[in-house]
Parts: sequence; C-alpha cells; structure tokens
Amino acid sequence: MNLAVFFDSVLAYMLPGWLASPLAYLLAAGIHLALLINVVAVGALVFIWMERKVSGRIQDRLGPTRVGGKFGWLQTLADGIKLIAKEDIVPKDADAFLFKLAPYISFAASFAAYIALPFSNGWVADSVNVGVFFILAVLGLEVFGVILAGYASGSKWSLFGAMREAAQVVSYEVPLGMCVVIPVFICGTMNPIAIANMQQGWFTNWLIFHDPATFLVFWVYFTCAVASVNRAPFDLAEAESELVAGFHTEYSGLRWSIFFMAEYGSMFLVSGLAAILFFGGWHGPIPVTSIIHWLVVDMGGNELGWSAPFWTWVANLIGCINFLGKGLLGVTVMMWVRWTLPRLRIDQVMTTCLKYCVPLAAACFLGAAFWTVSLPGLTLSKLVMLDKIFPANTYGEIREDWVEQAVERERIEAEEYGDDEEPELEEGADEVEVAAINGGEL
Amino acid sequence: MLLFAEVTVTHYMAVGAVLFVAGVVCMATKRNALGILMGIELVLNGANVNFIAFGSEYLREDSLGLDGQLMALFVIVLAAAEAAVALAIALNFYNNYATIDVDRADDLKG
Amino acid sequence: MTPVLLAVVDWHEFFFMLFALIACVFALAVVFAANIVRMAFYLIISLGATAGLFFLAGAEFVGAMQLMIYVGGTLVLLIFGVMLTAQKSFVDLKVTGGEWVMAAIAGGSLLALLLYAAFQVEDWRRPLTAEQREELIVADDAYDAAHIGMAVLGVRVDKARQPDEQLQKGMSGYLLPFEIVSVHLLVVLIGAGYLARTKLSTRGVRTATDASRGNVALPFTVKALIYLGAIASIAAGVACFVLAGSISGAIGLNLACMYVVGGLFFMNVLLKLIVLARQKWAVSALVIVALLQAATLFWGGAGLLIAIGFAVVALLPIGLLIFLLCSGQRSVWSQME
Repeated sequence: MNLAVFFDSVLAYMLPGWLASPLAYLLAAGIHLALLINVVAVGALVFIWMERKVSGRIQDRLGPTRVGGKFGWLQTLADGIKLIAKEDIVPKDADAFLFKLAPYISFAASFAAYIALPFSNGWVADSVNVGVFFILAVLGLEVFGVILAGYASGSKWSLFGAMREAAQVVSYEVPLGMCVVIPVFICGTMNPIAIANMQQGWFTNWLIFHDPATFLVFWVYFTCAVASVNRAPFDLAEAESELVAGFHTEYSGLRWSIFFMAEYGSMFLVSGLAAILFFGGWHGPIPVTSIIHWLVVDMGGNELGWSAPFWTWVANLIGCINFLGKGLLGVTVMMWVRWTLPRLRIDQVMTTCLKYCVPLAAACFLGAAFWTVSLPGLTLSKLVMLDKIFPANTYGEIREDWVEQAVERERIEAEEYGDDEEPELEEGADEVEVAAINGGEL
Repeated sequence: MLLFAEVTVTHYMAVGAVLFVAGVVCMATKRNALGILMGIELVLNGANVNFIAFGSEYLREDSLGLDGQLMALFVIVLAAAEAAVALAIALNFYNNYATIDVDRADDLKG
Repeated sequence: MTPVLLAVVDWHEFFFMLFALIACVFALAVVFAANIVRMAFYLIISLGATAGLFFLAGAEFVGAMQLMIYVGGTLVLLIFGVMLTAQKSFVDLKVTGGEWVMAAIAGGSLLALLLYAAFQVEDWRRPLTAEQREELIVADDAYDAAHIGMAVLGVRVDKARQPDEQLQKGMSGYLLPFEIVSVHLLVVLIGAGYLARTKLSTRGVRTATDASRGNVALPFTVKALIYLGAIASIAAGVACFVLAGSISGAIGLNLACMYVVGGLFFMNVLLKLIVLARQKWAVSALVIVALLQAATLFWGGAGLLIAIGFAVVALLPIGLLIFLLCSGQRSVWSQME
C-alpha cells in the first residue's frame, strides 16, 4: 500500500477531491524527503557523538558526559547551536561567491547519492537501473566542493590541502570502481535492490562468502572507501596537524558543519553500499522474510485477519533496521580504525593506491571471474558443506544460473525472430528474471 | 509555441546546437590554452546530446536505439583520452615557455 | 483517484526545460567569462546539466558515465591544469574587440544554420502520439546496462526490437571499437603520463655523466657485425617469403610457419638497428627472437634436430656480438642505455 494512496484515502473524507489528491502526494513526498534528509542530518549528529565517545574510550577517557544525561547524548546538539551562533567570516582574499558555494556542492554530491541507495526491498527514492554505478559517479563529484573550497579560500595552505585531497579521492576511485564491479558481475545486474535480493536467506548467501576473491575484495573496498571519504589513516588533507586544517581552514561555524555533514553522509553511504554489495543489504544473518512468510501464510495467519501487505511492510521494516545496523557497524569500524592507526603521508597514500590496491583489486577481479565462470554455482558454504545446515535458497541458485538462463533466452529469441547469429557470449542480466526477483521494484 | 509544446527531438537538437556553437566560439576566442580545451569539451557534448536524442525511445518511434547511446559512450571515452593528452601538452608548453597564452606560441611562425 | 498535481505540470517538459536552460546558459557563461577558474566551474555545471538531459532521454548508463568520466574525471583533470597554470597574469586573459565581432558572426551564422536544420525536418518535430506512449509503458523496460554490455561484446540483444528488416540486418555488435578504444586508452595513459612527467631542471647543462651515457660510439667491429647480420637477416627474410612454398614442401613444414619465421627475420633487422641506437634491451630481444624462430620451426613440423641446429646457427653471431660488447675494460655494454 502506497503512502500517498493511504493519505489520499484519509484526506478524502475531510477535503474535496481536487484538493485531497495533490495534498496527499505532497504529504507523502514530504515524509519521504524528511526521512532521507534525516538519515544524513540526524545521522551526522549521532556519528559525531559516537566518534567522540569511541575516540574517548579508545584513548582511555570517557568522552562527553555532561550534556543531556550521563552519556552526553545532546552534546552534538549543543555543538550545533554553538556553530550556528558563530561569526560568519569570509577572508578578504577569498572569492566570496565560490567560498560560500563550496560546502553546499560537497553536501549536495554526498546527499544526491542517497537517491539510489535502497534501505529495504523497494524502499528507495528512485530505483535506478544502473544504481551502483550512479552512486559511484555522484560520490566522485564531492571532490569539486573540496577543490573550490581550497581555491576560493585565498590561502595557499588551503589550496595545497585541497589539491592533495582531490588527487587522493580521484586516485582511489579507480580501485573502488574495480572492487564494486566484482559483486556486479557475480549478480549480473547493477540494480542495488536486485543485488541485495539475490543474497536472501542465511548469511551463507552473502556475496562476501561467495569465493575467496570476493572476500579479499571486501577488505580492499573498505580500504579504498575509507580513503575515498578522506578518513584516517588517509586524512592528511584535513587533519588538524597538517597544513593547518587543509581545505577547510578558513571555514567556521555553519559552513564547516556542512562539510562535516557531507563527510559523515559519505561515510554512511559507502558503508551502506558495502552492506548491499557484500553483506546482503537488508537480508540478515537470519532469513526474517522467510520466517514471517512461513508464520503468516503457511501457518494460516490470514484467518486471523492479518493481511499480507502489512506483514510485507513489517518484514521490510525489519530489513531496514538490519541495513541501518550494518551501515552503523561500518561507520563504527571506520572510527575505530581512525583512532588506532597512524596517519599516512601523501606519498604513502598514493603508493597504497597505485601499488597495492589497484593490483590487488585487479587480481581479485580475475580470480572472481575465473571462479564464477569455471565453477558456477559453487560458493564457499557449499565448499565447506555448510549448506546442509544453512541451505542456499532458490535466489542464490538463480544468481548462479543467470549465465545459462541468459543463453537460453537468447536462443529462444533467436529462434523466434529467425536470427541466424548465435550469441557466443553470455554475460548479461535477464530482466525478466530480475523483475521476478525484486518484486518490490518501482 | 515550441516552448510549451511536448518535448521532441528538435528541442534536444536545439540544445545540442547551442552547446556546439558555444564550444566553437570558445575555441575561436579564448587565449588561454585551457579555455580552448573547454571549448573542445563543449563541442563534443553538443554532439553527444544529438546522438542521445536520436537514440531515445521516448522521443521517436523509430529511434536509433542502442546505436545512439553507444556512439555517445565512445565519444565520452575518447574525449576523456584527448583531454588528458591535450592537458599534458599544455602543461609542457607552460613549463617550457612560462606562459599559457596561445598567442605567444609563435616560434614556428613564418 | 486522479493525481491532479502530477497532471497539472508536465514534469518531463519541466525538467527538460530546467536542464536545457542550465546547460545552455552556463555554456554561454563559459564563452563570456574571463576568469579561467570561473570558466571551469561553469563548464562543470553545464556538463552536469547535460548528464541530466541524458537521464531524461532514457540513457541512464550514458548519463552515469557522463557524470563519472566527464564531470568526475576529465573536469577534475582540467581543474588541476587550471590550478597549476593560474598565475596572477594568466587568470584573466582578455580578448580584443575585433576578435569578438568575428567570433559573433561565425558563431551566430553557425547557430542559425544548425537551428534551421533542426527545425526543418517535419519528422523530428512530431512528438510521440498517445498510443505510442501507451505502448512504451506496457512494453519491455528501457535499455539498461546489460543490453549495452552485451552490445559492446558483440551481441546485439535488441535486434528483435527493430521492426524494419533491412535495418535489422545492419545492426552489428561493437566489439571491435571497444577493443580499439581500450588499447587507445592504454596508449593515452602511457603517453600522457610520459609527457607530463616532472623533468629535472638541468636543461642545457650537459654534465660529464651525460656525456658518457648514450653518446658512446660503437667500435667498428661491432658495427660491421651488426650491418652484416642485418643484411643476412634481410636476405633470409626475403628468401622465407619468396621460397616459402618450395622450402615447406621440401622439408615438410607448415606454410604459415614459414611466414612467421620470415617476419621474425625482419624483426631481427629492426632490433639490430635499435642496438645501433645503443639500447640494451634490444640485445636480449635478439636472443629471444632467435629462440622464437627455432620454436616456430619445431612447432611447424621440422624435426627437433633441425630446430636446435637453427637455434645454434642463429645464436652464434648474437653470442659474438655480446662478447664484443662486453669485452674490454670500459665495455660498450656499460655505456649503453
């Protein structure tokens, strides 16, 4: 049941028809928009608090403990109020228009990628067919905000920091892209909903347990993602002891906080993307959807008046909480790594990218491709006979079979249209089967 | 008026034409070598808009289909390659002559 | 239930106008701006709006590629170039009035011509009819990345959708352009990396180490050996090609194998010329080529003895060459590059 339809049916009692419908749509759109913005804004709030607590504990101290109770829940709110109340300084040498515009570009790029990020089956702002690619492309636009900020600040330290950060982000996009392509070609589609749905069931269906190359690729992806969002140990461009503060030296108050909302937004985004690509997205270690389906449908819950759409919505909600938990876990690990490892120099950052991440990602690409083509249907869980306890579901089998299905479909189409050209190559998704899998696709 | 009518291929071609002409004028008038490079990018984008318009199913019944999109894809890739080389040349020029003004590149002038 | 809000505004038209206006206005801003950094910024916005136009026309994959490659790659490169060369005097390079007039005339006439052509064809001005639009919604999903991927690998899976028989026969895969573009990108990567490398700033100062490297003259014996060897290789290569049939018939060799051996003889000549240019790697390549020729002969059907005999005969002069290069107190070998 659509939220807009629900509102329309409610408002139709109170208002005339010509007013109820647009108002219902506006309300539904507003709620969706508010939810999405809150993931970033409130998420930033929570992450900053978490960062201070986690860093405090790692450094054997407590972190904020005063504002809002024993754990300092409202510390970030107090910080936000302080930042808003600060004086808005624009340096004399700065290019004022670009200086003011830069944080918003960074934030816009980081937030625009949430358009294609699904939070549960069908819970996505826009189900883009090339979703994973779109997310990567838009994430790469965040570097413009950084460059503009560095240039427009009018100080050479900002410019140096911005150039280093831009070089780092752009260089790490290459191994990031290569790591992302591996789950894409295992599943045969770029649609994140389809990729996540193919990992339904027990945790043995997760793509990270598909083959050793994919397992390794997850760690390379995590390293490249940490470098891509400029988190320690790759944060020399914005660290406090380097180049004053890099590209955001001259930024204070609300503008600085927008940069940091962009950074925490990107952190959650790449963690969420890792969850979808490698950890099954909203499908947890336990197959909640199947359990609910079995409880409601097979056990005859319908007689008690439980309607299937409601329970699908409940399953989706549990999936959404699952997904948010996985993203949160990823962000926590990023914070943990930040306060554990020392910072890398810029030449070490570049060496890591070009001499370690790129060859490793390329080798894992070859390994995963070889595994998928020559040993189709074999996952690590089958190898260690775990699938007797945790059976792979039909979606997992479909994923392993899409090569044969694509060839079969080509053969049928060729016969139908009298085409005498036979398809030799079989990498491609089958949109019929994809549409069958993600029943909630918009 | 065409402005409020439904979107057709002609609309896309008009946008492509404006981008193309802006690129050509940019190439013709800019003295900065990188400005000329920006003109080249605009020209290639104008051509891409045309290709995509003809390959779009939403605009024409008998569209080019995938051919239009694939041509645009190859154009994007080749434009990126050409921009890289052109930038390397411009940087070399800047390193050797300490200027990026193309009017000063007249060593081979008759 | 009629979604009034959705029907009151034609959203496709609205977004097209938005993206088209942004693209055109900022493209013109690139032309008229004088500050190079502002120009780059306006170009970014214009190309981003063009990506939006691509998404609207249904080319999602190409739109995402435009964002990632063009905006996220090429323009970052351009901005780096701008930052590296934007000294105070070069940030605002003004153009004289006369040039503006000429550019306006040329640009204006070109624009008029293109717009006239765009508005001329009646078929292009006709939007989709209502039932064509219905058909579009009911039919298959739009082209997605899988179709493009398979087309690039040579299989056109959308052949079935083309109603015209003649046109259907002409739909081919794009495998060859894909491979060419891949090699092209590799070449550009290496070339641009080489062109833009940081050079040591010792221009015009030839130190002693410079003089001794690369400037050494090869001794007469070495040169004579190389020239003789080149002439012998040319003769052998020509003999291979001309007498391929008779030789292969006599010994019982594969015909193709003779051609390969002949080609390798010519490559031998090229490598010898490179040795004359004092490159060390060419000497090792000579050895490898001789071994390759022997291997080709063996694979082509000559006996093992013949192949080994050939290898020995080919490697003897190369061995002599290496001995001559490496002998002496200050050997030529150590001064080659």
